[in-house]
Amino acid sequence: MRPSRTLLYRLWQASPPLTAVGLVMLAAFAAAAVGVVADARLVTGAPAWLKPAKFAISTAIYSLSLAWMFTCLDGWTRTKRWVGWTTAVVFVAEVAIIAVQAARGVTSHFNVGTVLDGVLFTVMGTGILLAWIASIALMIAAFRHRFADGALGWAIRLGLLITVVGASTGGLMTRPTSAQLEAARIERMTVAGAHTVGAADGGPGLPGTGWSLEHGDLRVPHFLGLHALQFVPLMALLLGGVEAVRRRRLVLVGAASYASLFAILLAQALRGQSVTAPDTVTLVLLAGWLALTTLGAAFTAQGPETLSNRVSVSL
Amino acid sequence: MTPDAVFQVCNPVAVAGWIALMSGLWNRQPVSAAARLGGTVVPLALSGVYLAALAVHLPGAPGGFSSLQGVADFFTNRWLLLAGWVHYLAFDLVVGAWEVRDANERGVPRLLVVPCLVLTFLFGPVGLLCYHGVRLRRARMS
Repeated sequence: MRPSRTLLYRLWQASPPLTAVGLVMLAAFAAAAVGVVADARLVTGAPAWLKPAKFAISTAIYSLSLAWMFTCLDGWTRTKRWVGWTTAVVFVAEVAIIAVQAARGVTSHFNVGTVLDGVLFTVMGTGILLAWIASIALMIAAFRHRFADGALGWAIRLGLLITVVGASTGGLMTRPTSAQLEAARIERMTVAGAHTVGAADGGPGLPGTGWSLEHGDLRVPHFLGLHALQFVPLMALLLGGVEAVRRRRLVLVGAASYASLFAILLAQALRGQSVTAPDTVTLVLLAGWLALTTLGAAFTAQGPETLSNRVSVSL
Repeated sequence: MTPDAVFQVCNPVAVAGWIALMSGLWNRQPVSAAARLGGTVVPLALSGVYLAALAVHLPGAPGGFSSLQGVADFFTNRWLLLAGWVHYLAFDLVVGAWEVRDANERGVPRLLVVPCLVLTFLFGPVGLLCYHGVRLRRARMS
């Protein structure tokens, strides 16, 4: 059997709903990508089908990552079944609503323009809250589980922890902005919430992601935070050849570094600053982050005997 | 020729020097041709610019070096301000070249040296401190 089929089989064994949704979303991504090319309509300045494409690929990667994590967690059958089904059902509803709204040529998130728009936005918000709670449940299971591979176990736990925190930045976007609240005094509110900080959504953005070139964009830390789930375990896998204790320490440094970068980018977005135009405060923070990460990695690169000796001496 | 125009030329030359220098990490000879370009040729060229700027504009310059206010007055001349900047560019590269050479000799992992080079490029002394930290650990290990 080819390796890819073996992996797919293992993912399916671990969670049929997540694996199925992962594959369906890959197909949905391909379809939405065709839509980006074929449908010239713009929604808030970006191709109408760009957002369904982004959410399809994002949910595909997320679902398959969760299924892979399930393969590392022996037991926990009921937790995995609940987390798998909840996440899968929510993602299908989420991407379906985003696709329907894209087909209608309107925004999906933050749209309270008509009763239908408002109801769909509320369903999306409630659904994603459920998926978030499911990810917390999985994280708790991971923290309680005894992993055969200790370093990978810590990577999964901390990756999930950063993802749970990173996902919660979505909540910062759904609050109506002060400008929207001000406007609502005069006329009915049609847009509640925004991902841009310091201006209305829809200004010029980076190609592909659409992240604002002129203002803060909460989607930057949201993206980085969400993907800790893949990045931190991947780092542990890439460090597979490193001696076990050192590998675990490197995973801890890597996770701390990733969390710090997330915090720096979140602070930058909240200050209304574009990710492409860092000011001196952000630059100094990034320089400190780079130096501490490098030194952290350098100082972890040490055999276990030497370090345990040093600890006992210093104690 | 204005100091601003010279500045616009020197900056990309220095960046090209840094890229050449960094590539030296992937060629484990103590000093590869690329590292020599970034660590010697470019700094020497920048030093030439510095020398020329000083030779023409230092005589009769305001201020001096005995007080901070004197230094501030000195740099009110834009040619001397340019010279100061080119001084940074040239010497940061020399420090970076030493880091590459030293790292190659000691077999310091590239992944640890690259951030030090980036920091040396952006914040000179911070990168030097960072590299010495990395080097300290490597020295204890061997």
